[in-house]
Amino acid sequence: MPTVTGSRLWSNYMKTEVSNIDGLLCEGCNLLLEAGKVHIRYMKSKFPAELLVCPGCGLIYVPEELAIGKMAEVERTLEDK
Amino acid sequence: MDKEYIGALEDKCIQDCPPGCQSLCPLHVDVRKMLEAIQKADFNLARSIYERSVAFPGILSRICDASCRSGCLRGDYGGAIDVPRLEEAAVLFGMKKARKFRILRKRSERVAVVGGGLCGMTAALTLYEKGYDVELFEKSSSLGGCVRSIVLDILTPDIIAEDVSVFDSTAVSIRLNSGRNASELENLIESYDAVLVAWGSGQATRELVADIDTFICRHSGLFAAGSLLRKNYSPSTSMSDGRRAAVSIDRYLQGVSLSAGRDGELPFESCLYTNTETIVPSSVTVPAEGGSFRRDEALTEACRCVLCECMECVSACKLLEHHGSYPKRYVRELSNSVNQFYGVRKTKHMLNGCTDCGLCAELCPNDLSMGELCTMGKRELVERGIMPPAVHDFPIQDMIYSNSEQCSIRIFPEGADSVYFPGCQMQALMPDLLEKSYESILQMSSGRTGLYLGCCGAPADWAGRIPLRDEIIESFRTWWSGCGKPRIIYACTSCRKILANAVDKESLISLWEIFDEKSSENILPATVGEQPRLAIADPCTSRYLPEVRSAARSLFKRQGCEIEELFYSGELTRCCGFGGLVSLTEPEVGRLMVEARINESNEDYGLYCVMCQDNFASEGKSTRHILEVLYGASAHRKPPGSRISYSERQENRRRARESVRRRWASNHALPADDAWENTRLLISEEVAARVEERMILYRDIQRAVFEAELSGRRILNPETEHLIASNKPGVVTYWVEYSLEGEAVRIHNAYSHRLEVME
Ligand code: SF4
Ligand code: SF4
Ligand code: SF4
Ligand SMILES: [Zn+2]
Repeated sequence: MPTVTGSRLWSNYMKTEVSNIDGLLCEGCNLLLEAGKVHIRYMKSKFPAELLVCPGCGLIYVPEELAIGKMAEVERTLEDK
Repeated sequence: MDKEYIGALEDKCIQDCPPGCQSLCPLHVDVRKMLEAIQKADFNLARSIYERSVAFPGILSRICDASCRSGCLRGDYGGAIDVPRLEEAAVLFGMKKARKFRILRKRSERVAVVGGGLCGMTAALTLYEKGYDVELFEKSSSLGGCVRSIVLDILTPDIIAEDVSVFDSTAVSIRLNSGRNASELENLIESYDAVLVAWGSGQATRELVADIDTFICRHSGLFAAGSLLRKNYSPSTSMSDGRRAAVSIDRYLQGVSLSAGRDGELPFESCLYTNTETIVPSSVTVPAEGGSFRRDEALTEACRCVLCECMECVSACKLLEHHGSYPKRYVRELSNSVNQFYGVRKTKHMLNGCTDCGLCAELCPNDLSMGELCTMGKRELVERGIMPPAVHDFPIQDMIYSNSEQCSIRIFPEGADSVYFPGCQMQALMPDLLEKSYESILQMSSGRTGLYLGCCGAPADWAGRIPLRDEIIESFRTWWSGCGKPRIIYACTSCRKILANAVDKESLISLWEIFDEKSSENILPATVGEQPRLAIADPCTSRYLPEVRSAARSLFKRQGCEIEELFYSGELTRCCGFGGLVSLTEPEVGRLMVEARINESNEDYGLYCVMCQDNFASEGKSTRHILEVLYGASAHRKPPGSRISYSERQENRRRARESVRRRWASNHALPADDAWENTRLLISEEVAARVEERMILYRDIQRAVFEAELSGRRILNPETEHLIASNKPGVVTYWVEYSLEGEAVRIHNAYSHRLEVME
């Protein structure tokens, strides 16, 4: 069985989708969230990804569509490996 | 997993063993498969299955001595299947296909076969297929041997000619009118690499004394087989001899052992088990005209075949059925993948789908326990970190909460000699009846019974988290020992199974036994009104507790219920799907298990396990728990088809603990609530349903909101003016969209993920 890497599974979730969500504000810093580099880790996999992040404190945002869509899919695949 | 253990386990499953008909057939015709084809009126397939083992189908089907019949299971149920007539039907109604010979490797050696009867002809064909140069010598002017002397209307020359014509498509050279005497034999031995003498009965000579298993004679390169070695004539044995002699010659010419690894060539007793309970006797079909079956007669007779097989466990267990095979295969697959991490994906689903209910072992003629194997495999995957922790996270967190200060309490009054252990599920699902049953126990024991609210650790056991389970059991054991090892009155047989690991079994007694014993004391409520007729569904963990099963029945009867037994009951009871956390981790299989169980009878079910009740009622079954029969329905009962939400269950536990504290242990301190637990939530029904489906608890939501509010780490969506908070208390990250309404928090949405996101 070929090893499925998280990042390959992830790659469909494009930058454009991230920056589509506009105008979210980090209340603590009073700054708009911007697309930024983050890491995603699960079981024995770790891979880079891009999500909305507060440029001040690094607070990361995961939207619902992502959590119940792509993320759930990646979880299942990694768990079934 | 230990190789020897796995090997022994695999050997226990005899599903692969051929049925009696096939095992006793000298040619091992796959009779069952052939008859299955006829049952479907597929005579073409039946014929080709027959021809796989029989080189001269037209001849043999007419004259076979049919030793299969003495092994036929039908024998005791109206008479053995008339297999030879069905074989004849397969030949008559199935299409003839030209036989294709696939010669894998051409060999240089030359072999002479002397004698053109069934034995010699079969040997010649077999050797030809193995790649040898074969010459077949027949002393008369045509092939067939002694079958030619058999009554004409059974075996016409046409039939023989047709079967014998198979040689036309081979390169076997046929020498008729030769191979008559011993001197010719000498010459043959000189000029061929091997010689097989396959003469008829009564033609043995001193040179032709052969080993009865390998057919080799003293003279090197000389073999003898067939009727000349046997007392009774049996056409099927002659053909089998021919084939086996050919195998010997092949081995001789290749210089390998003639005898090694040839078990199973001869007829043998089958070790297949077939359940005969449902077989209806029927008599053997007799052909209306002449000696052969018409199509419809063949169909009728074939349909008498039971299609013998075991599958006892598979037909009872939805998990084993769901995965489409049977234990012999499963054992191999599971052990391979657990040991080599190959194909773990499928394996995880198998392991997590097993409730360890023990029914398979109970049904298996050889006590093969898939439950034991699955439990072992699951523990191993957990230990090695291959089982994703998220799979069992929800029930484990739930268990931890059950045992927290908020939900758990341990009461032991002065002078008490017993403690009541109702179990965390009763506390969650029928807390009012928990208190009522405790009241009755107190009355029966003049106040000398304590109470332990908490979880026994079964979820940890089911999740394969053994250290965690042992920690919980140990905590209970220490307390129990400190109380002077009082008798433990359990309500849930799953708790009993777990507790039996920690305390001596004599200390454990079921609540139903206590109630039944004291039923004459007028402490238990009397029956009110008419009681329903109930089919009793025993919980799977009562399998080895006959005293509990009978006490429960006796209580139902005492309350005036008429009771009925299910097919799967007593020692053969089936799991509701909650065991092993299957309903939570493999919901598809869990649902199949519930469905199978509730469809066993149309009657309402009488239950004495809270989890069975929860599983069946939420799928729409009308049920009565024994405590409901005693005290009336719980106030927490939902209408059939709906379930008590997970958050409600936790809330029930917390409240039950507080109520018990107030009533019986006011000296115990109030639990120190975490500050966030007081966060007041406003949730619409729609959001509540969504959150429940996503298995997010109100407590998770409270904590996320509380911490965001406290730390100020929250996101604002200016468009909706909703705030967004997240929190990761364990394996799972929770997200909550909310807004503040005065002192309360309005929840708009919540979701979760298991991937960990970090900078
Ligand atoms: S009932 Fe059918 S499968 Fe079973 S032994 Fe008889 S012929 Fe074979
Ligand atoms: S009961 Fe199941 S495991 Fe046992 S022999 Fe039959 S098929 Fe195999
Ligand atoms: S669920 Fe029960 S019957 Fe099925 S494999 Fe597991 S222990 Fe055996
Ligand atoms: Zn910030």
